[in-house]
Amino acid sequence: MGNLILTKSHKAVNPYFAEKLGINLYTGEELSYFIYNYYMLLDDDFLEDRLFNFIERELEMTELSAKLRKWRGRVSYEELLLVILQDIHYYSSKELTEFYARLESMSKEGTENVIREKADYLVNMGHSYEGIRLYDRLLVGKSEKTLPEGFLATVHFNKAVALARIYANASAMKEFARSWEIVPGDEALQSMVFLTFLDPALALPEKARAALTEEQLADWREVFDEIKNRSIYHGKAQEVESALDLDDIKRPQRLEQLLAEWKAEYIRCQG
Amino acid sequence: MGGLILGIDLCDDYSQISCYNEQIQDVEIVTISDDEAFVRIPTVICKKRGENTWLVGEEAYRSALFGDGTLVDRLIKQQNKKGQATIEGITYTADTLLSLFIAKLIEQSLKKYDCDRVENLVFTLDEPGASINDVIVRAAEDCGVERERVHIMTHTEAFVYYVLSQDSDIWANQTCAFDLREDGLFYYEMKIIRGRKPQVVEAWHEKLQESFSLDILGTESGERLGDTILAACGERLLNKKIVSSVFLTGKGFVKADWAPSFLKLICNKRRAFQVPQLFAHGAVYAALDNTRETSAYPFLISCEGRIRSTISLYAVYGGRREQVILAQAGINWYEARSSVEFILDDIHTLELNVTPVGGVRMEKITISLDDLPARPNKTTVIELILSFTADNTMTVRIVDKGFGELYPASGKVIKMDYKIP
Repeated sequence: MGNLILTKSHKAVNPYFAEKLGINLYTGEELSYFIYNYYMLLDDDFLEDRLFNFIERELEMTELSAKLRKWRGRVSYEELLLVILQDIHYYSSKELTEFYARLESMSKEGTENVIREKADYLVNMGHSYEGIRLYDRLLVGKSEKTLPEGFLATVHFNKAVALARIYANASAMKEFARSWEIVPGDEALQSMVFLTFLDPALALPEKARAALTEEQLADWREVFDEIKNRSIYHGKAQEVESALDLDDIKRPQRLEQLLAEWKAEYIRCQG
Repeated sequence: MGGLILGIDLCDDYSQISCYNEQIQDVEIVTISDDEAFVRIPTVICKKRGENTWLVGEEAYRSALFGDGTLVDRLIKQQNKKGQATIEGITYTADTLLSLFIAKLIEQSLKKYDCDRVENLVFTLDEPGASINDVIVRAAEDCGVERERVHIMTHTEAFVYYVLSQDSDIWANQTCAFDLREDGLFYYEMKIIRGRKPQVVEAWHEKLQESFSLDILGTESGERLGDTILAACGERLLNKKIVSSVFLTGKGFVKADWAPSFLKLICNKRRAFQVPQLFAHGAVYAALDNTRETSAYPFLISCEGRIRSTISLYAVYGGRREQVILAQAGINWYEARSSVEFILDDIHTLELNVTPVGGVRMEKITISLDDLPARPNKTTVIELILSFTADNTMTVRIVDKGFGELYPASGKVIKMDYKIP
């Protein structure tokens, strides 16, 4: 059965700026939502004075801020997050149990898995540069030799995706190729082929070219063209399309607004 | 001294002002004319010819009589009809004229007590309504009286406040009042329903069919006819009721010796009082009570002008499901506005509980939220605004407030009107 939740009355005059999302948080509920849904985005310095001051002065939750200051360093990072969520009462005890279980399973997964999940999450959120930095932490040095092959191939593959998103196509090609070399499979090969369609200046690595059949190439061309055609009606392309349909007064305003949004998004994702 | 505590009875024919006098710890009549005998202020306004000077009451009549200005009367009726008057080529709306009249009453009261501010001000009218209430509040605000210090109530509410301010033996049983004025004969009745917490005061009024023009009281035969009519009304209305006291008010009862049969009837095992300023006094008692931290009237007043049902819903607060009262029965409808913000948690309809005073079965009002934008769960904040346009008509507005910058507000509003018991 659904519920209504009575909001806490305090709305911050000076909001908490969540850099990763590029937005301001004004209420305890928004802070809870941010922690619960974007905990992967939280840096190690999230539980610091800036947050505690916000909770104390803006949300006027002095008891909570005092608790956090007192327990900082004495209890785990995850437990402190849970304390915040518990005191704001935005999530039910069932949701909090699920959240804590998620955090716990992450901590049991081992460092490499956690880093990879966090990197994947950052890339999905548009923070490609930060994601790439985390993939590199896994791939450089000794650890690369000690990681299981399947895991390693996935990391190279995901890093390639992140590189392609920032148009570093040549580097992306190398990473796809590395992934394919470790675990040969159609997915990595297809991605390399798609990259050559996107950027005709790029050449397929020799081994990959040799493994590719004419039939595969023709099929993937068809798939690629279909995706390309469909993309016209989705996402940013669609936003521009609908902006162009507006009248002479609203059109430039909307385009300017879209441009500003994209610029902000680009700056935010530079990491 | 602190600010003035005033009660103003605004009627179409004449108005009256009462003030709480701290020194004598009681209410007193305020006259704005030089002649103290004029306790009733005709609800008229007169603009002096060629000047931007406005006169009210007896002064206005005098000026118009001497041909010095143009007089406008029936200010309340004109306001209800959204009328206007053209004076010296300029058209004034009825709202403006009523505002000027009210401003004069406030100014002159302040002047009389050599005071510069009003602590609390209660207007009482026969039939308050959203439009006239707005005019009154704005007029008071223009005189420097803050919105929260201005209140408006019905004559029935003022009657209740007046009665409850008297010794308790006066209202031990039922209490009633007869108001005889130019535009008719009105009957008021109230009783206390004991054994509930808080105790409930029920009151009502009606305009009696058996009305007569006050002009007939100019002759002996007319007086006899009036007496006969009143006695018949009294017989019908008081019969088989245990009435502790009867109050007589209005221009027709300034003197009551013309109605001996009626007086004999109402004084039979009851106490009777002549209170010409009953409503203005009642209003000032209410104004005095508004200045207190805790009300001296621990009753739930159920009468015209007050909502008779409690409006509530259930919501989670601090992790617990609790009842949230949006409007409490017994509150003046004009002041019963409330606004609360909620977050929707897997909920697509809003269910309001309407609980009438007196334990009658609770009703439920269900409002669909399907028109609000689709968002992930718990990321829609709604502002629920409850307001009233009469004591039995409620307006519910649900405003989409989004969820901060994560999900900006769409500005979508769902608005519904409901009749409530």
